[in-house]
Amino acid sequence: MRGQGHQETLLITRGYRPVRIVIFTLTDDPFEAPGIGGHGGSHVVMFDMGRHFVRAGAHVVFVTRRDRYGLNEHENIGVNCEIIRLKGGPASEVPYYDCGAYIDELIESAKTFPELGVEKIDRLVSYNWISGECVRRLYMNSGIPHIHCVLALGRVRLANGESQKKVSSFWQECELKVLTSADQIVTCSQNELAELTNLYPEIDPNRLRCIPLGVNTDVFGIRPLSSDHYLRRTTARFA
Amino acid sequence: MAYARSPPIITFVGRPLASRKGLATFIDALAVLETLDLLPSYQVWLVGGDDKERAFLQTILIGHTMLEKLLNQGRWLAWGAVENAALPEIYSRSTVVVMPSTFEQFGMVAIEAMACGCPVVASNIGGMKETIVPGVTGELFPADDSETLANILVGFLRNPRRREYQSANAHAWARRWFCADKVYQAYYQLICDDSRSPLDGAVSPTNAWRRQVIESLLPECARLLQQTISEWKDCSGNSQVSARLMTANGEQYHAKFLRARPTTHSLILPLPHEQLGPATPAHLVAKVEYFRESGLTPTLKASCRTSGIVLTEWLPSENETELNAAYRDLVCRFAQWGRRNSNSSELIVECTNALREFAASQNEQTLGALDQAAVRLHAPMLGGTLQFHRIHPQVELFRILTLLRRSVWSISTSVRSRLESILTLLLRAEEIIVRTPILMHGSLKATHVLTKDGQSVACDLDNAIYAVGPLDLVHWNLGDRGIQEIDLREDLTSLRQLTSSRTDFVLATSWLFVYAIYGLLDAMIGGKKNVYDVLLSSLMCAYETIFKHDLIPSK
Repeated sequence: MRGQGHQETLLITRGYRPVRIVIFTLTDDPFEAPGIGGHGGSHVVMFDMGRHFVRAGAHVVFVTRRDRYGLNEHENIGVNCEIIRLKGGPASEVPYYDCGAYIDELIESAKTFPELGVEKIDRLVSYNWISGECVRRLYMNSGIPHIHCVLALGRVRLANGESQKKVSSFWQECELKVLTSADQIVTCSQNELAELTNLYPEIDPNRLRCIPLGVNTDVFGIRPLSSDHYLRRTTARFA
Repeated sequence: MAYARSPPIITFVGRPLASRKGLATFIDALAVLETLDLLPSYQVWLVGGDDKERAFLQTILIGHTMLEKLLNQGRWLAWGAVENAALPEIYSRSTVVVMPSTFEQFGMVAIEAMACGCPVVASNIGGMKETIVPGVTGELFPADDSETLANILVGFLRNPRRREYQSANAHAWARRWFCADKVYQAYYQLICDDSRSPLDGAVSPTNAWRRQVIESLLPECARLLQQTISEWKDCSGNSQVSARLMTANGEQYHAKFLRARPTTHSLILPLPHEQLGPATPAHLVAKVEYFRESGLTPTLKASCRTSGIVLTEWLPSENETELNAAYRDLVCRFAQWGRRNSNSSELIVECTNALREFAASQNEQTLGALDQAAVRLHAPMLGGTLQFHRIHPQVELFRILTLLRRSVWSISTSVRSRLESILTLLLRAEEIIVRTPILMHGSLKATHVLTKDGQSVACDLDNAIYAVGPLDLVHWNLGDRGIQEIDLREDLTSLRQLTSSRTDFVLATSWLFVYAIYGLLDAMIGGKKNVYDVLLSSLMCAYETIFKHDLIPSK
């Protein structure tokens, strides 16, 4: 008799080939260390999410922007994970809102990778409006389900007093197209969901989902001894 | 095993120069902390940023009159960017993690810290409003409000056990709702299966937390009752989680899930370490058990000092027409029960003598002796636990005045000055009134009065206390109104009618002001800005109230 886990594996492997999930995360390279420059918590989220998908039996392709010289355009990370770094703009870190200017270049770069061909993809996930717009333009009418994760909402930023320079009309136009075309839109908090519902009446509320972000509780947990304990105080061993 | 006590550590994790991370607010709050008196030494840890950013931050501190000493005394440690795997060690060594962001869609650092058992103090914005349960896993404060942030941190520094209280909660909360396996499985199901997320999301963190506590302890309730629980309903009050339980054979019980939490005093006042109170709920359960034979409470069916569960019979509320008689009856019976206990009689005398000595000299030494006597007086009720208790309202007015003059809280000069004159006026109303402390319910109000076999009983005895003056009358008069609904003018008018002598009225007035001022300080260190503002405006009008009620005798 099959256990529940086995049934789940069958569900996602769709025959003999693992489900191929392409995650567009153009502003957050999941393999960059957080805590420096523009790299923060969303990088860790992408990493953890991708790893969970791989462990669940899927094949994950991360698509990000090449923001540093010396990084490979395409790398295989294990059997079921690969990362593609698209050319678009300078090979250096730029503010995320400036990345929008390179959408055309990023799309052209994506077209050169056979791994991103329509026939190779089962599911598309995008993270923030720039990634969402690339996915929308690249895979319009392809029939591939597109799940868009909200990261920064232009109208919310404007309502919070951010300048028009940062939240450009281009951002707002693209964002609206993504939010109205994606099959599912995921927010990470009820607060974000409420903002989305209030400020974007154009969006079909049936396509909205709220799933929080998570942490790896194998790594983040209570340490075995009190931090006052001499062993922990006298050793510099971390992790 | 050799243990050494580390200084408390306040940690900031994030890109330091990303303006939305609010480091400037944090630095301002640290500058405020450095001005305060009677605050234990602490360290500041900064995690994140490259060498250039770290050097820049150091430049900010050098030359800053208040903060340079953080550097000079080695209390400022900038780790820079660290490996993700090192973060748990940093979180677990931190007393509290601060997230003063002005914009944060979710706030991963808060979840990471809580998963490691570290409470989080964060701006009340974005996702953090849902991920942090105020008072349970950390605290929230208005974004950009460095004064409030400083005051919240004061609470963590004054009572280092606050971390212990919140640590287990934070860990359990993060594991329940934000475990990556569960969260990303929900994503995976959505992506691959198009099915709805099995995660119901923490719509109201406080309600979700209560549900989590009740659900986790239901099996233990069933074991204690030796019955199957078929249904439950959350009936929690403000401070503790409680539920009405229905068993399979139709019986009903009231379950209280007592969890150790820091008392308001332990966060506000610079108390000796031994008076802070323990980090387990055993003493709270002991207090309920103390009244088992008194006939003053619903019948105790079962209790467990380890889990903090107290199971009592479910009783109906007292008839409204009988409430005033019930009040008088309960006040008398509580006092009788307090006197009847042979352990307490000597301690009561000792406490009264200490009060007499304080009244004669009114200095910090006799105040300390009185505090110790009060601690000992309450110990038998708490299963031997030592914990600070305030027993006399005029003594508390004196204490607050003394501390205000020593700058132990971050309060603006104008507010401090006004409070000082109000306290001075109130203390002039009458010499310290020396009376024997009497056992009281401590929070007697109509909703706490139930009826059992034609006799009134009281529930929620968490605040039961030996006190001087009509404390229960003050609570009875306030009823179910929250602290922010105190109307000093109206309440004093009613208390004047309800008290039978001038000394009783002075004591009742003093208790009311003590309640309001401690409420103000509690709101201040809890980041409850709206409560703070309401109480402050009420207290600012107190001159008129004091004058109107003739509280200053003409000498």
